[in-house]
Parts: sequence; C-alpha cells; structure tokens
Amino acid sequence: MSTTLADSMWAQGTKMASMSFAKPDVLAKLDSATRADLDKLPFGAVKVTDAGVIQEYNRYESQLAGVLPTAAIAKNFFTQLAPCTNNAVFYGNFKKGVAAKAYNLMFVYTFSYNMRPTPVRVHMHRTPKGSNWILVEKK
Amino acid sequence: MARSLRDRLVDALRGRPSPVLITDEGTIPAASLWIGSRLWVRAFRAAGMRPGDRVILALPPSAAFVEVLVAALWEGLSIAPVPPGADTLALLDTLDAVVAVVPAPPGPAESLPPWTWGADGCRGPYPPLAALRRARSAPTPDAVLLLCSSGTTGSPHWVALSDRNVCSVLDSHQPQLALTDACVVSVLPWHHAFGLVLDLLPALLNGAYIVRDPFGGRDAESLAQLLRQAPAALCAVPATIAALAALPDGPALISGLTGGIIGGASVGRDLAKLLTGSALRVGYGQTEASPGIALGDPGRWQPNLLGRALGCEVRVVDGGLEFRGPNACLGSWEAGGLQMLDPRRWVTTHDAVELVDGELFYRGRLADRFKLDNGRWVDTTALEPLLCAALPSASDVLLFTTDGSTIDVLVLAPPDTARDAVATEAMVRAILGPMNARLGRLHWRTPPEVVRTPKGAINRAETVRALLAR
Repeated sequence: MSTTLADSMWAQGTKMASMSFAKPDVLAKLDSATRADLDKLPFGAVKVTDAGVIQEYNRYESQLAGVLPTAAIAKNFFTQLAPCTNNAVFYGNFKKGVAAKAYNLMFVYTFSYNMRPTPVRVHMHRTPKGSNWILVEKK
Repeated sequence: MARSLRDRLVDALRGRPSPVLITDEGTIPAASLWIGSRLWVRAFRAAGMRPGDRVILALPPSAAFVEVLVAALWEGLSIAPVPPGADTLALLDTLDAVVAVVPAPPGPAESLPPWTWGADGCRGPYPPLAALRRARSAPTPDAVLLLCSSGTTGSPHWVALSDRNVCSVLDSHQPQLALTDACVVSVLPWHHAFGLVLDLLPALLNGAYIVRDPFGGRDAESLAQLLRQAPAALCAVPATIAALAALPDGPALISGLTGGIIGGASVGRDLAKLLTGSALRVGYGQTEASPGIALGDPGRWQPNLLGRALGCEVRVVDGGLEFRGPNACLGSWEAGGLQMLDPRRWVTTHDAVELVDGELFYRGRLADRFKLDNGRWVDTTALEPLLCAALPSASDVLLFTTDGSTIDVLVLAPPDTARDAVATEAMVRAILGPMNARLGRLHWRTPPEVVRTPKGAINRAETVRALLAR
C-alpha cells in the first residue's frame, strides 16, 4: 500500500517544495556551507549520507531536539536518532529519492522533540553534488 | 488471559514509526501520538483523576482524539466519545462525568465552559486546565467506553462497553481485515462504535497509514480525491458508497479498494450488484454488540445480506435476531448510573432476519410490523421481501397503514419502469393472501423520492409522511 500512498505524498511534497522556508539561494549554498554557516540558519539542517548516517547537525535542530551535535553525528537519522521517521512516507521517500539521485520535497510532519509532539515542516533536498539534506522548521 | 486494549495500543504506538495518521494537521507517526498521550496522562494525574472517572471526549477525528483515548485507557478512565460540538455541559451532567475535552479555543483557555479542557492540536492539553467536576455516582472502571447508540431503535441511549467487549470484537474481526501496512481512508465518525472499534482501532493496531477524510465521507468528490491518490481500505455506510458510485469514476474507485466493511444499514439490490466482486465486505452489528455480530466475505454481496455470525452465537426467535457472547455490552448508563447486564444473556437486536445456510439476511425492523384493527399482524419483514422479489424492477417495497384498517403498498422503482397497475395489484393480492381484502392504495415512487437516514437506510416514517403530505 504504503508505497502508492508514499508516491502520492512524494508528488504533493515535490509541488510544496516551491513554497519552502528554505529558499533556492540557500539550498544552492548548502554544499559549501561551513558548520558556522549552518548554525546561523533559521531552521534545522541535517546532512545525511545515502544510508541516512548524520554528517552535519546544526544548532537550530540541536536546540529543537535537545540533542547535542556530537551525540547526533555518525548516528543513523532514520533508525537511531528519529526512528519515528522509519516509515514509508518519510524514510521510504528518502530512499526513493536517493535511488533516483534527485529529490526536493516538503511536507508537514510531527516529531516528538523533548517529549512533546511538535508539528514541523520538513524539506528533504538532494543537491546537484549528491548530498542529502533534511531541513526542518517548527510550525 | 487476553491482552487489554491498553496493552495492545501501547505496543502498537510506543516508539513506532507507524501507524501514521494523515490529517489536515499533517503527518503524525505513532511515536508522536504516543508522546502526546503521555502529556494527557500527566494532566489526568495532576488533576487527581481516578480509574473509572468518566471523561467526555468531544474532539473531531484527529491526533488529539487518539492521544486522549490512549491516555484515558492508560489511566483506566471511562471514555465517552461524542460528536465534536456536542453540548458538553449537558453531557457532563447526563453521564456524571468529571471533565470534557474539546478543541482548544482560539482565545484564552478561560473562555472554555467549566470542567472543560482544551486540546491544543496534537500538542497535548491547552493550559490552564479547569478543575474537575465532582461526580455524584461511583466511578465505572469496568466500562472503558460509553457510546451513544446511533438510534436505529428509535431511542438513543448510552451503552457501556468493557475492555473484554472491545477486545473480543477486535480478536474476531481483525484477522479478517488484513490491514498490516495498509492504507486506510477513514470516513466514519470515531465517536460511533463502527468507526471506533472496526475502523480506527484495527488500523492503529496494525500499523496502517490512516488518511482522514476531512468531510467524513459526506462529500463524495473529496473522498474520491483521497481514493485516487492510492488504493485504500474503506469502511463506510451504504449511503457513502452510493454517493461515491454516482461519480463518473466512482465504480472504478470502488473496485480498486483493497478492503473494508460496509455496514450501518442494509444494502439494496443496485448497490449489491455494484459491490459484487469488490474487496469490500458486509458487516453487521450494533453498539450493544461492541459492535460486531456478523461479517461477510469480500466481494460476496446480495440484497440485504448481513454476513455470517462472527465472534458470537446467534439465533432467530420469532423472526428477530438475538446474539450472545463476549461482544454483548457490559451494561448501559441509565438514571445516573451504570446498569450492569448479565454477560451470558441473549441480546435482542430488534432486527428481523432470515438465516439461510448460515448467512443472515435483513428483513426489516421488528417494530415496523403493524397490527390491523381486526387484531391481525401484518408482518412487513416477511411480506416486503416477497413483494420486492415479485417486482424485479422495484428496489424496495414498503407496507404501511394510515388508518389501521387497510394496507397501503409503496413501490420504489426507476421512473422508466412499466407500471402495470392491474397486474401489480393482482400480484400484491396474491402475496397478501387472506389479507388481500384489506389492500388499500398502491403508490409508485422513484428511489430518489424516498427519505433516507444518514447511513442510507430508508426512513420509513418520514417516507410515508412525505408521501401522504402530497
């Protein structure tokens, strides 16, 4: 099932990406951004490998989640840090995007930050250089 | 010992990525629903609530609804789900409840009525929280749910369900539904037994992806848009399916459904034909049965088929269906208290049925039978199916009396039907037998002229009233 529902959410999310909090000029600079640059962003920025292992974890996301970057980096985002994303509509679409080597979609999700459900906008984006970004803004 | 509903939901939600609830609020995974429920647990404890305290749950189908439900189960409270917008102050009094939970107001929480808490979307309670109402009657820890019956008996009343009641129906019905990893489009109200026990709970317990229709199935086009996105299971009443079928791609959408139960009213000839071969199955029950009594096989449809008994025993007494089993409700809330009922009793459904090779067929409400002034009973539940079968073009035939002396016949048939009054009258007289001397008028109407309940059943009283008003 969930594959076709995920496909539908992929299509909707791709349309919604044009209304993202992360503007194209910001997305274009992600690959060259230093850790300090990332920490200045007004939204969460998590860089992960194709397997989902966290490489960057900025200050906004750290403060929102209550997780230190040092505790997050090298962990798998989908299975260790945020296992609530390990479903067809989140991780499933990430894997689909990685396989396609391109994705840019936004959707509304609810994380459980600091033991409280927190609605957020999630923008998943793969840069032309092939890095994967999970961008998060609290609603 | 069977696992409790609370334990089942804990296992299904805590730390899990699915089930996933998809609503206008966004996409909410099980783990977040679980965390939200803990906020409610904390609030219930801080307020000093005890097991068996009664809580009015007046939230729309939403993450908050699930969170409060799970928290209340965790704390052993008695939950009374009611329609959003219901008069909670009156209900607090009726059920002698300690608190009502409603959507958070746009303004400050102080604008809420007394003993009323606001739910801040999926984010838990909206502080500050009002004090609890002092209940006069004893707590009811054995009743996990207090549900208002939908009133098919004509007398809505509060039915108390135990954990055993609900779990017995889940155990009997869930294995048939194959919902693991399924996409479920939810249209039924969650404050009704059908929507709560046979739609929402199985979906939650099986890790399904639950897409909530914001119009609750009342807008066929909105529902169709959801179904066009992905093949899904759908539980609904016949009226919803009939409206969906009327859309240009409605029949294709229905045949593409992956499963689901159609219940709440019997299915007529046209809809049965459309549903034959689909993945949908008929379900029959009532709130007093928690609410499952019978279930059909997928794609097997006949007019008025109710399915085979499931999870309980059934028998037909004087044409009326009775059931007995673990699904028989714990009791009822009457006169300000919980009235417990014998769990071993036979429960009368007030439905007239026919049992054919193990399958139940609906024949009407026992209360629809009427007595003529000579003391003779007109058994509408037996005569109407015979008349309908003898008139192949008729979708329904109703018998009624306006004066207690004569029997009027209302035939519902498409407008292009040849109406041979003489032949029809002869056929009706033959079926009425000795009562044919009492035959009054023969009325013809088209199906759209009939008055129906929201579930799609014929509202007999209103249909006759409208007919006579002309």
